Amino acid sequence: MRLDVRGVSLSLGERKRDARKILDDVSFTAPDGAFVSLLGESGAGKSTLLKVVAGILLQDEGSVCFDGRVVDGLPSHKRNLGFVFQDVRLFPHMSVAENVAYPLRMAGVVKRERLARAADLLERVALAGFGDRSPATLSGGQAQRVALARALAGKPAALLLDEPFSGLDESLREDMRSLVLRLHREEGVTCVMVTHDAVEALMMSDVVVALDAGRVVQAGVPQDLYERPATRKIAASFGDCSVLSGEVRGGAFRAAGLALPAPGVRDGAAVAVLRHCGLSLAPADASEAPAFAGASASGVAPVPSDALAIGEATVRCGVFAGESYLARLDVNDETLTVPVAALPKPGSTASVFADPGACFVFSAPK
Amino acid sequence: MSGQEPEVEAARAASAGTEGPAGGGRPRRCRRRKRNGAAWALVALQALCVVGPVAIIVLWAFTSAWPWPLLFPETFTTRGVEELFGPSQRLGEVLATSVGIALACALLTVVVATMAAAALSRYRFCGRDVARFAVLVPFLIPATVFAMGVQVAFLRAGLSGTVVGVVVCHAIVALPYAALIMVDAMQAAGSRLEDQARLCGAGPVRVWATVTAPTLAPALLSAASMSYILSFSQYFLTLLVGAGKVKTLALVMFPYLSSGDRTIASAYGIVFLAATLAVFLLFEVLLRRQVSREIDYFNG
Repeated sequence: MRLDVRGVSLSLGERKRDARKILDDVSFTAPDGAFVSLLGESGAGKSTLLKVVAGILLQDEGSVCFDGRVVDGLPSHKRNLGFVFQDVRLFPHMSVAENVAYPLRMAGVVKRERLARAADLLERVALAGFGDRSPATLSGGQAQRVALARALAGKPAALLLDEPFSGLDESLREDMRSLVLRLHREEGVTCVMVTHDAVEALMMSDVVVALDAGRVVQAGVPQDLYERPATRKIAASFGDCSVLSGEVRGGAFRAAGLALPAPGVRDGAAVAVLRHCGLSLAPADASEAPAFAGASASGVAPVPSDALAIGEATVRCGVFAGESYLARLDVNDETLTVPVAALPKPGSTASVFADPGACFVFSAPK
Repeated sequence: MSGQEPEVEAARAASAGTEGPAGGGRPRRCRRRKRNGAAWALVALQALCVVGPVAIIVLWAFTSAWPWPLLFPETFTTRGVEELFGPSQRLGEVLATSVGIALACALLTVVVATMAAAALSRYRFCGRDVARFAVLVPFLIPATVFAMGVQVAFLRAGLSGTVVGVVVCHAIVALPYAALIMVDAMQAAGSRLEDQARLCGAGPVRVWATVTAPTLAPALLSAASMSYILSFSQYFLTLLVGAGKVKTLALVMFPYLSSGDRTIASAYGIVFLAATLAVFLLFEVLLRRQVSREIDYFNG
């Protein structure tokens, strides 16, 4: 099913005067069979948007279309959707199998057939034999898999997932992600997933729709968002990075002793996002070399050929972070963090090298 | 309605004391046992307060006189029991009326209270807070004042002296209690599971039947038993609205208390207690067993 959301706006609030605009003219399209992620920090309106798609909330403006058919007037129980909430929401008074069979029961499938299909679905989420148990006896990951099986039981036109993994341990999330992707592939069902985890969105989706403060700020394939982020928040959401504020003049960003090329950014206050993976460090002058000698011997800072020397900064301290050390450099009142192979000497000056593809400069809002 | 509630509470406290999760380490278990001792002492104290008066009633029912300095009565009589089961009292009929009215009242109260609670906890409407307060108003009005108003209104409506009138006025008295229970339960339960059920394709009626009612069953039962007891022990309102034509157990018992025939009054008291306890046990034990005890409002 192709899902179109066109110009949806929604304000929520107890009364008119303290109404808050949660969604502001949101539009996106989920092609048939695609996996779409709605990415944003908490409060960005992504869960609200999913609830509008599901019909739990009714938008003030705009429309939601399934395969080109406007479904705005359709109550949620007639939209034929599968929905997995973050807090699982298994029915506590039913067994696991009855939970999974519930959508089939509502669709009027006879008991024996629906229980057989529930058993089949439970097997596919690796919970064969759990049918007679009570939901209260399941672990978090098991309960989430039951919820997933239940969402798929009614052969939904689309599967909506609201932060389905955020309640799980890190070790379980990876398994759950593969399970969701496998079921998505097998069923060929259109999936829309809400997440605040940008890396998760990259790994799972065909299309990522980034939301901020109720607006779509960028939509595209994961590579687009990673390589050409439209906002500072999107740029900063993929892995470790440092954010520096400074000034752009004549196509170059400056902050203390650092200068970055900033083509196409208008003059004025600006922020730069520097991903740690594209940064490296070298001693600033020969007199400091001994301090770094040991480091270069062990293969430190083999400065990549496409890296750009962007300036010098003072090392404040270094910390051990497992696979590498992190050097903290003072840039005005902010901190630039650069991964290094050995601890640099605090107080020394070092040259910073950066891969232009890992640095992004944005005009700072006034 | 003197004794039943503390007794049930005592039973609950006792079961809570023994049912706690199996303890972890040894020192903890030690502490738990000590705490159990204190718990049992409290339960015993409470039981004494309830069982003591009941025991005295039982003694009174089988004695004709109990003069002051005697610790125990010295005469034995079956007069009270004979009178009670005698043809003039028509005990069966009175009991059936009482239980019937109380059950009807419980049903009516629970239905109305649940609808009110659903409106108060699920919908936003103008004047909701006023409506929420209005539900509790019968708490605040003195029973006599309320009874007079009800009597006048019911006379006009032609409900005076009818069983229906008695049921309705009992329901009005029980409504705030039941509504309070239901509002709290529905607010705690929220609409999480109902949203999920709707997304599974259940229409409003089936959401109610398959999800809302089963998850709220404990609260529904509590509200029903509360209403039942309030109705069963109601005297003044039954007298005024029933106009003496509707004879409930409380109504028949009262003259014996006021005329000082303690033997018969005590015999009635025993029947009263037994009837209340029987139905209460039915509500609390039998029906509750049907309901899954694992229902957890916050962790569905």
